[in-house]
Amino acid sequence: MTIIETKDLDLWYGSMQALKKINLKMEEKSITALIGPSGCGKSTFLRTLNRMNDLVQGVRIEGEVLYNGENIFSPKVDVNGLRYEVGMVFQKPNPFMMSIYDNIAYGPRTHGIKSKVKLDEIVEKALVDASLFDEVKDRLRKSALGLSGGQQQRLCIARALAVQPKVLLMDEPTSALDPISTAKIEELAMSLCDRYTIIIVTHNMQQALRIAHKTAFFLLGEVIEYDDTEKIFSNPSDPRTEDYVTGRFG
Amino acid sequence: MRTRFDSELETLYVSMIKMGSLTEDTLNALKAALSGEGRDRLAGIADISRAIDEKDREIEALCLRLLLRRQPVARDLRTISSAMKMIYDIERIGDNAVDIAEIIPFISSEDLTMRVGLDSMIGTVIEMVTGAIDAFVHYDAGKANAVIAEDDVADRAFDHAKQMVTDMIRHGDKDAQEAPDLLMIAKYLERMGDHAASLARWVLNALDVSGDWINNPVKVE
Ligand SMILES: Nc1ncnc2c1ncn2[C@@H]1O[C@H](COP(=O)(O)OP(=O)(O)OP(=O)(O)O)[C@@H](O)[C@H]1O
Ligand SMILES: [Mg+2]
Repeated sequence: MTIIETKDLDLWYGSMQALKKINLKMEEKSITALIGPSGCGKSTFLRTLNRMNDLVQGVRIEGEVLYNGENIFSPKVDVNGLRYEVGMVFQKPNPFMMSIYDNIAYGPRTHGIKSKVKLDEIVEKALVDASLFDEVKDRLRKSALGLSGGQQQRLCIARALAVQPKVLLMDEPTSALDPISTAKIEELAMSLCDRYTIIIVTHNMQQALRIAHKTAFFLLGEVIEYDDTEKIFSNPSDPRTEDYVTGRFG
Repeated sequence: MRTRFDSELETLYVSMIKMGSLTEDTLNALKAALSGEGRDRLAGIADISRAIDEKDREIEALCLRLLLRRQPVARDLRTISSAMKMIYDIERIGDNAVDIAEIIPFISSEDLTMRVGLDSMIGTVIEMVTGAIDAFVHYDAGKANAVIAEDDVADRAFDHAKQMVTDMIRHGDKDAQEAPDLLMIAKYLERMGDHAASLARWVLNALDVSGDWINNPVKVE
């Protein structure tokens, strides 16, 4: 089932058009990878899906983004509610300067959950889901900044999971991580995708090949090709995709 | 952009051409023997066949290294996986050449091989093998299809040879005791044609004529 669909999505930063007529349908409970050269609009596209671009000066958007069939730009959509359902994990782990526990409890607390028992339960579940619980269970009250980069990234995933999103947007979540931490995040993404929809930007083709069901190739603000990952990397339909994935681009 | 990987693929093409041309050498030596130009080159076939085996191992090692280090995708992956299949067929053709070279000394006269049509049959096989290697190196689907079509010519030549051999035996021809050897040569040539057609199908695989290579590769018997 389609969970997010964009229809003729255009986006301008001032006079510069960064997204051009993007039409993509993203499957629920699957992993979609967005690939393409630097500056082609992947992050812009990702940020549009939970209206993070609203905060950017001079942005103009045309077209539609349907989340469960409803246009997220319609006035009756509550942006904060949308961001709970469509969470974001960034390239560089960005834990808050507070304890591991409080990092994860932060979202649920702003949601109005006060019961300690309930919060304990949410924190533990989020840490377990993010495959971090065993590593941090004895130091939940310690600062999150004392964690390694890979652990911090999994903490950020746990923080995103704590508000029970439906969709996780990940913008190059492993580009700052070592191979083992990267492998852990990839395993995590694959284990989460039976419950969550994951849309991930990556510059690592092998990563897209390892984890994504579908892959979209972006070039200069357009989607050139969107198909099953195996198709994109075995016999892409567009010669520009072929040039890009085989490293002969430009 | 031309990459280092492109020059490694170039090395692969050159090695494939080399392996193909060694095979052509053995086939031409057979052709000379089967068409009455002389049997003196037969003795060299075993050596060339060993050189072909060496190339086979060298190319396989190169392909494995490219798979490991370059993690090829798309056209590169199709090319390399097809090359690995093709060297098997080329190597088999070389083995069949050795088999034929071992039988020819038992044939008393080239009149017999020509009467059965083995001289023109080997001509067909040579064309097919050369065509398949060419098609691979130049990404030429038309040429590959032409090779596959030519397999029918080789099959018909085999049927003809079989008929001739049957007639020799039925009519109590004075050379009838050589009939089994002639038939075996014809059968090996027919197998070579099959391997050459299979080479051409691997080329189509590299080109992905099916449009869905990973799920629906071109069928290679
Ligand atoms: N806040 C902004 N204001 C103005 N232009 C921007 C802004 N953010 C991005 N752009 C421009 O929009 C285009 C797309 O940028 P975007 O960050 O989406 O690319 P990307 O595909 O994520 O690249 P990378 O792979 O380098 O992260 C680029 O030309 C970029 O300079
Ligand atoms: Mg980006």
